[in-house]
Amino acid sequence: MNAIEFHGVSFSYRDETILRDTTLAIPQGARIGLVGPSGCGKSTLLKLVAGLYAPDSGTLAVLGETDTERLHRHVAMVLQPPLLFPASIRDNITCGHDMPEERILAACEAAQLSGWLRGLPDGLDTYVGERGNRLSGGQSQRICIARAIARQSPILLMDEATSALDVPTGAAVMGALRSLMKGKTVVSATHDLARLEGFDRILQFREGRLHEIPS
Amino acid sequence: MKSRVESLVRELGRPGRLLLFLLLRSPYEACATILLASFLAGALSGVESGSHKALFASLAWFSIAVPGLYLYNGTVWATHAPFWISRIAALRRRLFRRVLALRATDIDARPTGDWSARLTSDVSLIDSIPLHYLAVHVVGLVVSTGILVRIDGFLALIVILTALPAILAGQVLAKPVRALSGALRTAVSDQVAELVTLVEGGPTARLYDASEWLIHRFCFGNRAIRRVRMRLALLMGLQAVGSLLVGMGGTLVVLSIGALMVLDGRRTLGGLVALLHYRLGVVAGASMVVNCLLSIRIAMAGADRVMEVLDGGKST
Repeated sequence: MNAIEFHGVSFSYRDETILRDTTLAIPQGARIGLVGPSGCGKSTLLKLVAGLYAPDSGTLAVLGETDTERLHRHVAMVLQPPLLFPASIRDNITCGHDMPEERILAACEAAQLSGWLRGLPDGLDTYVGERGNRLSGGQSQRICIARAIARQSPILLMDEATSALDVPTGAAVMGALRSLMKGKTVVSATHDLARLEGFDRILQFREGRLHEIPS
Repeated sequence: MKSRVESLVRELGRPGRLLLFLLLRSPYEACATILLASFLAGALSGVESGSHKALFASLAWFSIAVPGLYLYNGTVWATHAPFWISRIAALRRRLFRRVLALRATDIDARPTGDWSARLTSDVSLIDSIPLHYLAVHVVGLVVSTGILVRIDGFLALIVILTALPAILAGQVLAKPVRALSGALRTAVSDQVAELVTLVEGGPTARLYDASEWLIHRFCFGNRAIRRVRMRLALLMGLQAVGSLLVGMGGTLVVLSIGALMVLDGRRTLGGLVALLHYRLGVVAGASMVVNCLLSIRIAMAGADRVMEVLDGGKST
């Protein structure tokens, strides 16, 4: 069974056609890069896979699941800019779910947050502020990555996960992402081809259709 | 509170124009009370003495004077409303300009909801500050008391004694009402921040099945607001019930004494009705003054937060 399958999927947003009769199969464990200029529909495709949008026509299956309301159960998503709730680091990782402490700590370790957390007086219970304004961009993004790791989903969607970060922070976040991607199906959208090194396939958006380009 | 209201009036600008409006508006309640009391006294005396001329004269005077008074009041309102709206708009503009000039660290020091509340609901509180109602009811109270004293000093003393508890209760309640109003402003600001998160974080919450958690957090904020509002409503309710009981007691006493005077032939029925009307002017006036002062204190909780931004944190 493929991880993600598009069969003749079309989708329009605000009277603009984003996807035209798209058919695509992404096997389990594959790493797929999506490239194209801003606004071409990369994020929309990820949101379709996550079940945040529903296709206008065609069928979209994620691990065999076709009900849009249930697609999100199979995916974790890392967005840019990172969205943090005005709560503690712990709550931002668990999103209010009961979660064993070991799983949270393991997610923090994989997201390269542990060293920084040890230096915080309140550790995981540190309040991140509104929109994470008490943290740097890199720290916020790594908390979002820890959230995605703790989710333990088989499919990972990344939307410009490192594009707004400076080089050292981007390198640290990439390190965290490598942990996150281990053994998972990954679809990563970016406008920068260089960030897709080691990916199995790279697809480019052009006029609502996907075209494979040499990786 | 007087100095804070003065600074707010200065901040609104053109205090002379505001003072003129208050002066023009203030006689309304007193005039309405005198008009109605004179009409009732004249008409009932005419009925009592069987004089058609006196009755029709009262009716004619009333039918001319009442529209005249309403016309005067409406004209004052109509000329004042655009002035007040423009002052509030200017205040909001200055406030917005001031917020834009703040350093990013100052902006980050407060939640978005707090800034949003200061720019919207706090300014709206200033918009509804009942300064003109206070002026109207203070003048109405003073005039009614003066007339009542002239008619019957003894009854006036009884009326004043029955009105006093309402005024004293208002003063006792003023401090907790102000504190609760401040707490309510803060709770509402905090909830605006939660609402922003609910909207912005909606897709993330859906992805991570966190919607229920966010709603729980929202309800927690709602409970805080509800608690403060309940306390505030309780205080205002106590004040209203107290005023009502005292007012009814006063009416009973004055009516009993006045009725005995009518039976003894020391007062006409029309005179008694007029007296009761002036008594109503005193009691209702006192109650309205107390309510206006409480409302001004509530509005000042919002005004203080606006002034804090305009003063760059100098005032609290």
